[in-house]
Amino acid sequence: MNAKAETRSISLEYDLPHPPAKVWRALTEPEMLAAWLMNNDMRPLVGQSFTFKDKPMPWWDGIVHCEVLKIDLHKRLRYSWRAGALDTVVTWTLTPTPSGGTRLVLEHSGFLPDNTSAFEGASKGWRRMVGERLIEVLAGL
Amino acid sequence: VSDRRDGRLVYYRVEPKGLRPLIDWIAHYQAFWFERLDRLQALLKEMDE
Repeated sequence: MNAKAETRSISLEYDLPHPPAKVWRALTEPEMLAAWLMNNDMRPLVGQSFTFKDKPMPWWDGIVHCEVLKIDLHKRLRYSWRAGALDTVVTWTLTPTPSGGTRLVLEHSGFLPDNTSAFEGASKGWRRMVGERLIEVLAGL
Repeated sequence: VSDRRDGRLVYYRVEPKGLRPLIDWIAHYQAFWFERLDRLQALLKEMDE
């Protein structure tokens, strides 16, 4: 038995014709980041907390809580990604290519194998909603 | 969750489909990042113009 829970991750790789310095700007400057990802108050400093904000959903308040974990200018950026019950990590790795472009690798790691922790909030909310409705209905009898 | 009153009785009905989008976060984020990285590439292209 493993004491530590095994986790799963997503890994995506892109070959971009743009130099790393430019790709870095799109990953770290709040206005640019907002244009393709989400509204944010990112500051690329290790230990800095920031949030991404999206449209709230019935099962999620639309807020991603992040903390910058690692910065290696134009090379690597890592931050925690906490959304609802998810507690994950996003890592961007930039490598210059011979043609002057960038190999960009995104790794989103830390997903629990069954993702059940992500359900807790929702099922609690559901129980609370049903509970409240029941009390309301019973009061009306 | 929906309800229907019938005199003193209230019937509750749960639609399991409503809870389904929560099931696979990996699939959710895979689709999310695909879409967002498309946007990133479009943005980088625009910066050249």
